Amino acid sequence: MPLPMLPTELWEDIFELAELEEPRLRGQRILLRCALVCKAWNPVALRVFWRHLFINDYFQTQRLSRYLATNASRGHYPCLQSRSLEIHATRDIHEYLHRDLLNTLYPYLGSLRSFKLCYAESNWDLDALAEACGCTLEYFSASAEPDNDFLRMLNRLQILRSLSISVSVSFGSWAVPDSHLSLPQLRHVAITLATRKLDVFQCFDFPLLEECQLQMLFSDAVVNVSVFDLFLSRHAQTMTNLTLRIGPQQRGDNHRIIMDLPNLRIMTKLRVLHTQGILTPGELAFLPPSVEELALDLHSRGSAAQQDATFEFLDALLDGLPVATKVVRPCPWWIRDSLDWHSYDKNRAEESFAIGMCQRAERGLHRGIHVIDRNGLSYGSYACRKSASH
Amino acid sequence: MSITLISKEGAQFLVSKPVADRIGVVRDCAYGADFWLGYAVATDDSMGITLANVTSSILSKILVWCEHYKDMEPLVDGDSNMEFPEWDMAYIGHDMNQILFVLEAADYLHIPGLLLLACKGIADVLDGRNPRGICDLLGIVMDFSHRQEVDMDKENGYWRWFLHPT
Repeated sequence: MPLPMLPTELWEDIFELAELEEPRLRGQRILLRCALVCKAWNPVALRVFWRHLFINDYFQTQRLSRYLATNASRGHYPCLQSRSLEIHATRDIHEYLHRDLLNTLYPYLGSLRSFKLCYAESNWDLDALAEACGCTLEYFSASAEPDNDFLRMLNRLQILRSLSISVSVSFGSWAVPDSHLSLPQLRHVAITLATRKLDVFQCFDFPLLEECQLQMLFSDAVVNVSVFDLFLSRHAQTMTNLTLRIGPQQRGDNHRIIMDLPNLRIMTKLRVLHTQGILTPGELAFLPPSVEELALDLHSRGSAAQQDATFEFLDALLDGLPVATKVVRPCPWWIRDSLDWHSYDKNRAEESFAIGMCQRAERGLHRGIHVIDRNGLSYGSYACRKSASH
Repeated sequence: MSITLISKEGAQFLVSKPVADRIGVVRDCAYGADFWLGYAVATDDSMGITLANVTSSILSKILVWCEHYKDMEPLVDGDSNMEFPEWDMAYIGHDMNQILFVLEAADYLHIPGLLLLACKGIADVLDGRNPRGICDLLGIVMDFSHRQEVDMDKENGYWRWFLHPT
């Protein structure tokens, strides 16, 4: 029997799935091979190929830059089909990126819906980028210490809606008193600090900020929490989501700052609070009454103390504290597949944790509070699955 | 209630309502617009729907998928996590001929979940094959002229470099 002739749209669907293969370069290789199969496949495969570009190597960068420049001289702009571009620059290609690639990319940036540039350097000439960028742009800074130049560069990106900064070097000139970063369109900010000082927040002004994620990597005690508290008060009228991860993950709940943030109480629009480690009943009572969803990362594997603290917290919540919480999401990191009951059976501690959570989930349902896992499934459903599997 | 599906060769398959509901074409034929209002038009067990473009072997394979997903939702296009369950990957296998026929039938019968799975199956089979190997596998004629092949090769030189830095 002859093989069926599939319409072009189906081949495009197939190529799009091929493009998603991990690692990303493998998917791109499949597409390029398909482009060489026949005339019918060529434009379809190339269209998908250019749609999402991913670059993480010096040679790719160099070659792409030359290819784009050569095509531009012939009036051909393949990158205009691109909808997302992700560049993972490494230290060895900083110079090259600065000099050539960004220049060749400027004409294309306006057509992108997503542009992720990792490890941007403060000395890059990004004026044109600021002009051309009409898409979500994320920044990470690793090798260069953020300074006033870096802030000035960011200040030019007035249409930026999402900002992600990772500062992995020692804290320095961010704390310069004159520093100021004002982005009128910014909705989401994620700051990762390899420092114990929170001074950086004194220079931020984002009038439309809705979501803030703070991750501190050091295990030392946190310094200048009041600066962050003032930052919260400045954004109390707009912020709806707040994530606080203080300290390294495995010992995250050693560092507690919620009680040092009195301005949390005036954040009347705060709906979602994400913290690292379980809250104490005292901290729970300290939260603004508007919080509807609590997400809690639990990081002590199999720890009886962690389990007790989790149950104590949930009991306090379920016993009628005056908060508007409707969803609680305790997320033990060791539970990777929430439906795999067999893995619980291997570990009595995890099983007893899950059973305790099921009991509290059932109590929660009577009060209209959903206790769910990281996949959005109710712990109550575990009880049903467990009994069904036996 | 059950419905009889009739394959291209005339073979009959009796399927239950939840299984038939997975097949868009059958759902529309059997229940019409009233299906969406909750009133099934077809109540006669002897009712048969002929699927003239689907062979018995492919239809029986498709019904295995429909039976598996009669009570749960399959992965659909646009899901944030595009990881197919192990059962799906074992079901679709690596037989290119069969996957192509399943894909064609899923398109004809309007089964989006199975269509996506078949696309994934083909994408996996294409992985690791060179253009000539893909042509042989699918019976495609390489229709580039020699000149075009040279030009393509030159052009793709950039891409090969782009993908295979050494």
